Amino acid sequence: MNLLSLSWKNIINKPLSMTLSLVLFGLGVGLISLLFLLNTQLEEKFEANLAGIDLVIGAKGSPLQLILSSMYHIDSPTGNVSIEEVRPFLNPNHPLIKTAVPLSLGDSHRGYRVVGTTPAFFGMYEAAPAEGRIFEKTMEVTVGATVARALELEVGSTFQSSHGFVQDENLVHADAEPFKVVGVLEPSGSVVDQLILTNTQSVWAVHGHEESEEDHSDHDHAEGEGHDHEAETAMKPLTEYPEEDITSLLIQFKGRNYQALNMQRSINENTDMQAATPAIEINRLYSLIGVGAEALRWLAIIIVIVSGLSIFISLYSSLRDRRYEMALMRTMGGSRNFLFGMIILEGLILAVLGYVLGIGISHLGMEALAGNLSDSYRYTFTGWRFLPQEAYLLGGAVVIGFLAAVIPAIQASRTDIHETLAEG
Amino acid sequence: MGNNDANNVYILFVHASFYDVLNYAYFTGKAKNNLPDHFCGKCFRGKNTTMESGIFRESICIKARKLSENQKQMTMLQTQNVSYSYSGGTPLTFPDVACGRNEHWLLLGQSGTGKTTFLHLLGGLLTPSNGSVSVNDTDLTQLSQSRRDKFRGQQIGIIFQEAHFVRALTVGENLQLAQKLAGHSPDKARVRELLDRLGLANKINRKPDQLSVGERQRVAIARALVNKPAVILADEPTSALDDENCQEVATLLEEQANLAEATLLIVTHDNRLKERFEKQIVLS
Repeated sequence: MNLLSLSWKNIINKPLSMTLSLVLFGLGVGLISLLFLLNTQLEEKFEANLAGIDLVIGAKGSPLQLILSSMYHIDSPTGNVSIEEVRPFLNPNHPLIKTAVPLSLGDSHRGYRVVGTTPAFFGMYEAAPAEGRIFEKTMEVTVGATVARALELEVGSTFQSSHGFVQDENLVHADAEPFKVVGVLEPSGSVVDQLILTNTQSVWAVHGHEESEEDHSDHDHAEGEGHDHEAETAMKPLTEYPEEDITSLLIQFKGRNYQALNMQRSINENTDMQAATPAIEINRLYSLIGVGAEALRWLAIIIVIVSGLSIFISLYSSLRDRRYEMALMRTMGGSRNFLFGMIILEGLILAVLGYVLGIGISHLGMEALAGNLSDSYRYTFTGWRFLPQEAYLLGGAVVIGFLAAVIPAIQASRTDIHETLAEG
Repeated sequence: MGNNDANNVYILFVHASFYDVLNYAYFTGKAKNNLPDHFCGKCFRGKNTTMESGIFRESICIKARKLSENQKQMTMLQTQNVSYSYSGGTPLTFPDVACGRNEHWLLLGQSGTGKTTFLHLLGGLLTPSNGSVSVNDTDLTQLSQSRRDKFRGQQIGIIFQEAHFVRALTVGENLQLAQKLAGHSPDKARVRELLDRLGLANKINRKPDQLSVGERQRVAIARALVNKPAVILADEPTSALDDENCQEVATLLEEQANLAEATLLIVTHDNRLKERFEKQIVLS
């Protein structure tokens, strides 16, 4: 019968009021910890996807939307730009640009986006195939690890993409040639995991831009020869198709000098396109989300304080019921410190249990949310990561438990034995 | 230890088990029912009660000591010139008392004569305005608060009119808590033995709320005895009980006080007890 088990038994003897305090405390702690988890994982995902990209060029519109759609693949594209317009940036001898990767967006396969690009994309995101190879010919695709797992795609699988980002059978490009998986990428933790990658020409082909050309080859040649023909088209640089459109262009500079920085302003002012800097837009996004997160954090702190108050009230009122017990324990040899410690311990036990409950809520909640979040943010989230902040949270919980218990504990230690016993 | 010479022998056992003592008794040619009756309070007291009452489980005998008839009569509970004044009230003065070891006393008085106040003074729950209260030769008024708490837990068992318990704990746990609060390590064997003796063995895992009034009072007696106190104070232990339970509780108190060789002082205005006890103090 030590102090800890005595306090514990006192708590479970009053299950109702203690449960209320516990649940409140758990909710507060859970909300704070969930905010930590979400924030950390979101920021990490955003950082991981910066991929050294300095500038994104696309159609005029919201710069944030351009960044979100082209780099994070979560929003709709702003529109298209023609190859003719971006031709200067595709020049491999451009003095400022190290890499320029074109993106053609707009199609998806069962919720996963099909991205038309060039093999340089893989270098930019440092993605390598775990199986198979990177696409070479038209209608060949290399899929991200998550996509492969979720859609059970492997090398040799074929599928037809559908128009738009919503899964809808009516929008499937049924008349187009099916895509063929030639490679599966290693899991990278970046957005690449969630993408189906093919070359830009494939996207055009699906949308029938090259129909006349393809028609003729399909009619006149045997199948094998037809493939040869496609291989040829794949080899041609994009600048050979001035009439075609792409969605955006991801740019890595050779160095961040004055001219490079000026390029964004110059594009925005002198062309019908826009250029956006990922770092700036993401910071803007943080500050937008930040207001909401801040409000939620304050809400959580208020919940924790209210739950501290409820621990205080339930200890205080249970003390009134237990006045006689306190006097009794004093007559049996219990010191004032013993009673003080007993009540403090009750507060601490509640706080620690509330903390454990809260951490449980947040991690289970995160795990439950992970599915939803992956769908809307294109990233994998997990509930099974624990952060150092959660240890500080434990410290905070213990402090609140102590503060809630200290007044009732003083009250208990000051029980007047004679008066209490004489009252009966 | 049949002869007078042997009565003067001072035998010292340090951390001896009961078997050591038994061996000693056989070795020195004493039959077991002639075992010396003077082992310390950690061991056993009555020579004929030793075998039945589970003494085999108790193996710590700190010291065996010789108690002369005089020592047996020595004063365990003593007050001198004790008075207490509530703020704003007239001071209550109390008669000097001197209760010997193993004596049973009744403290009588009408309502309002300060019986409960006197009991709380005797138990060190209140500090007198004047005078001194000694228990087992220790002046309670000279002890610090926490020393007094500990001393009370070890030396004084108190039984109240209505038996109160820590409600969150079972009967057995309440008794162990009493041991713990007095600074002893929990002794489940002792708890079981006591409850067994009071006919409560099957209630050990019940919550106090599940017991009848009479049972609760018996548990309260067990709790008062669990630390083998020198003095047992009882405040109106029978007034809430019917005649049958009243006599039973009174008998138990006497028996158990005898077994523990403790001084018993019952504060009461219960006429049913007056015939049972010869030694009486009357407050007026």
